[in-house]
Amino acid sequence: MTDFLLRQMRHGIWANERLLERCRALTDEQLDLTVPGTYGTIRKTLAHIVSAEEGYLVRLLGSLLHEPPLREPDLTLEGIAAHIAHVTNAVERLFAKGSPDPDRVIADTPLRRAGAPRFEMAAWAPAAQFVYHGIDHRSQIDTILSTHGLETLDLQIWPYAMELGASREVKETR
Amino acid sequence: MSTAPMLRQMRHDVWATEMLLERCRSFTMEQLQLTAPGTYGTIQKTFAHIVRADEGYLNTYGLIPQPFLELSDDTPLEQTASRLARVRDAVEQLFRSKEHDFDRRIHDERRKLDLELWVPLAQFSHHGSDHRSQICTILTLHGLDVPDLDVWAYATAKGASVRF
Repeated sequence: MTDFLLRQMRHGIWANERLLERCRALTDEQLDLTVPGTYGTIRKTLAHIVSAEEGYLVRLLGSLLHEPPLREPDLTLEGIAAHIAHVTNAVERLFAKGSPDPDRVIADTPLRRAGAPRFEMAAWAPAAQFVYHGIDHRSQIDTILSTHGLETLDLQIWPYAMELGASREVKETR
Repeated sequence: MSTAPMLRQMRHDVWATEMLLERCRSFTMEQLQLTAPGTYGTIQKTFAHIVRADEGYLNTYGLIPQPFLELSDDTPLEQTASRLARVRDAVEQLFRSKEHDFDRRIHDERRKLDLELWVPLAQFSHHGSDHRSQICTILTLHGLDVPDLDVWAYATAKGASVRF
């Protein structure tokens, strides 16, 4: 059975990639659109999603994905694409030897700055946060696009499952 | 024995909806009818939509029968909360039963789909998070406090994350 978290993380990456493709068709001015109540501009929010995902994976893997690590990013779309590739690679590495133990206690992260508080947590927490955080912020980007009359994308599990062949429409009634 | 990651994800989802509902219980009728451009609708209707959809996803596994929660602009919050409690119980029931094979493909007559059983569960988490995010946008837009609904807050509340 494919690990459920792996399925969800792969869906998150798929959704980020779809959203990035959508953003490539926007002008610079459109990428800088926002609406009150959201994280920020479209571009900044997408960079924030990917940067946070790298952070969760660094904590889960116990090592940096690359040097120097990504902090407070001000990324171009090409930069975002490059970091999505890092996330994809790290997710597959995380599950390469089977399902990680969700109850393993992670004592710290290599990304912690000097003097910053240390958190000990069960491994399921950053893994679940990876999934939740992306959905939350992609929803905000969807709201920004919609508010400004721009075409939105269906990033739910349904179209993802269709693409994978895990769901298909049945025309005839059985 | 470890708790299944899928169960943790769904428990977080139900917890987050409960927390957000709790935040909105003290709202006036006018506040519950607030909305924002680009979102699903009013706060009240979005809550009903989240929980009704949860019922539908769990119905796939034979856990919650129809009829589902009525969807309208004025579905009472109490009614939504009561149905959410049933959703919470159904989630626990799903994982109490024998090991499910979530890779198994079934025919879903209601949706006219053939699908693998992991799909509605993943959609359960996605759908709730997506629409709670919209409610939070509405609250922020109208200057109302937003509770922290992320997994960090949940893990801290459950003692699974501790600050040193």
